[in-house]
Parts: sequence; C-alpha cells; structure tokens
Amino acid sequence: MTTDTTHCRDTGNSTAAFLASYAARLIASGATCIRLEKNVGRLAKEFGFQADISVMPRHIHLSLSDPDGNHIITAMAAVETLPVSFNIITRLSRLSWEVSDRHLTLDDTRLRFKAIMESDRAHALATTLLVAVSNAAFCGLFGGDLTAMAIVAIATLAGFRLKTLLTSKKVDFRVVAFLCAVVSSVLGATGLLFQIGTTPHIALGASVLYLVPGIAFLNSFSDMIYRHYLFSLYRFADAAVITCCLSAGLCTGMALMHTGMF
Amino acid sequence: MTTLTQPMIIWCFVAGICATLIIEGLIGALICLARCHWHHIVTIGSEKEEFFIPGDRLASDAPDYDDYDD
Repeated sequence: MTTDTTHCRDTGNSTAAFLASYAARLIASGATCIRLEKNVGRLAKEFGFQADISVMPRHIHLSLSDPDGNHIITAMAAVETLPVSFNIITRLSRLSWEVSDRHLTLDDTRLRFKAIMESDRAHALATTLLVAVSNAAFCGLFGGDLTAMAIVAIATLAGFRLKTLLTSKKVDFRVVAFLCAVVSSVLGATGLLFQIGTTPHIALGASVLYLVPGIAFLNSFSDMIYRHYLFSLYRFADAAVITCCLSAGLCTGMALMHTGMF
Repeated sequence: MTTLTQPMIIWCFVAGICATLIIEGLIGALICLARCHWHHIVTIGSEKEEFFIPGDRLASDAPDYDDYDD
C-alpha cells in the first residue's frame, strides 16, 4: 500500500511537472487559453489524471488529481517571453493527439517534447524576405504604387533584420518595437526625401505595419470569448503597449525626417 | 538648406547601419551554407508538417493495400 502510494505520488509529480512545462511553453508560443486547456486536459486524461489549470500572465498553476480525488498534486511553471511560433503550437498540439491516439508513455512524451523544443524549423532568411514581401503587398493594398512598395519592402527588410538581432540579444520588446519603428519610418520616408514615386505618404505609413501585434489582439479576443478575462486583459494591455511604442517610433521617425504632421 | 540637410544626414546614417546589418546577415548565411547543413527556403513536403487536424492519418500509418480478408 505504501509502495503503491509512493509510486503514485512520484508518477503524479513527474506528470505534473511535465504538463506544467508543456503548458508554459504552449502559452509562451502564442496559443490561446482554450487550446491550452484542451491539450493539457487530453494529456492528463491519457496519463490517468484530471487537470485543472490556472493561467496567469507570468505563471501557470496546474493541479492534477487522480480519478478518486484522493491525491492532488500542484505544479507551477514560469511563462517565458518568447516570439510567437505557430510551428511550435502545431507540433505541441499534434504531440497531445499522438499521446492520446497511440497511448505513449510519459518518458516517450518527454523525449518528443524535448525534440520539438530543440528544433524550431523557422528559417530566418525566408521569414525576413516573406515579411518584407507581405508588408509591400499591404502597401499596394492601401493604394501605394510600385515605387512605394519597393521602399516599404526595403524598410521592412531593414527593420525586421534589426528586430531579429535585438530579440536575439534579449532586448525588451518594447524598446525593440520603438527602435525598429524609427528605422523603418526613416527608410520609409525615402520617397518624400528624394521626391520619388507618386504615393510617398502611403509608403511611410505602411513601413511599420509589420510591427503591429495582430496575433496578440486576436488571441486576446479569443480568450475573452472563452471567459479567460484576466489573460485576455493581460494580452490586450501588452499589445496596446507595443502599439504605443511603435507609434512613438513612427512619430520620432517622422519628426526626424521633417515630414507630415510635425 | 539646413532644413533639408538634417533629414538627409539622418537618412544616410540609418541606411548605412541597416545596410551593414543586412550584409553581415547575408555573409553569416553564406558562411553557414558553406559549413553547415543547407536549409532549403522552399521545400516540397506534406501539409501535415504545418497543419494538423485531429484524426489525420499519421505518416507512419501506411495504408494497408495488400491486406485481404481470407
């Protein structure tokens, strides 16, 4: 009896620790709270437990209970500040389905989780180029001519490269947003400075669009719909602050280049 | 003249720094290409690598075409 109880407690502790780290990584990669609840609940059920999870802005509180309710184990994990990665979210979600469908053990699941964490497949150069092209396309959608689109592409290329560099140096993202907005808006004002193109003002305005935290705003509304109001307000506030920083950077760039409203 | 000179100086300074960063990134990528495993920018693969819908057949679950019920 004592051996069974000890074994159950050890298994529960290991499971709780793993699920807490899984949940922290999932939420840090930009998943919504409802996806987190479903994935963690699925994993816990497969390992023979019931999970209750409390999602805080900086921490995850996980409570595991066995079906009888005799043993309750609590674990906590810190949520890191990481860039959004749909790749990680998809692969972690797929992992939870693999555990459920194939009845993987905790050790196998841990190994696969570790492999996922160590191999994010995002290609930096491809991402930079695609972001530049997409931002140029936005400029075109808003009525910019080809010259404006080319200016926006180059400004985005430079700004995104700076963003990647500063993010890798663990610089606060609010500072990153401000500096990248300044750089992109200065380069986006090329059309106004050299009098080239017919829509230089559209190029200036579109040059900072890649910094807008659209995913954070969308996730905030998704969390609100599923009644995770605390996390929703946290995400909204974070996104609003980043938007203010990039707006300040845009205004600084415009002031430095003596354009428009200053 | 002073009004136009200041934005021009600022633009040249920012453009110079950005050009340096981009060139440095390209050189780093070329060095990695020469030394490390080349990551293809465009690859042909299964869409299930990026999108997974619950119930999708896993890659290892090969279709058993040759099974017959005797």
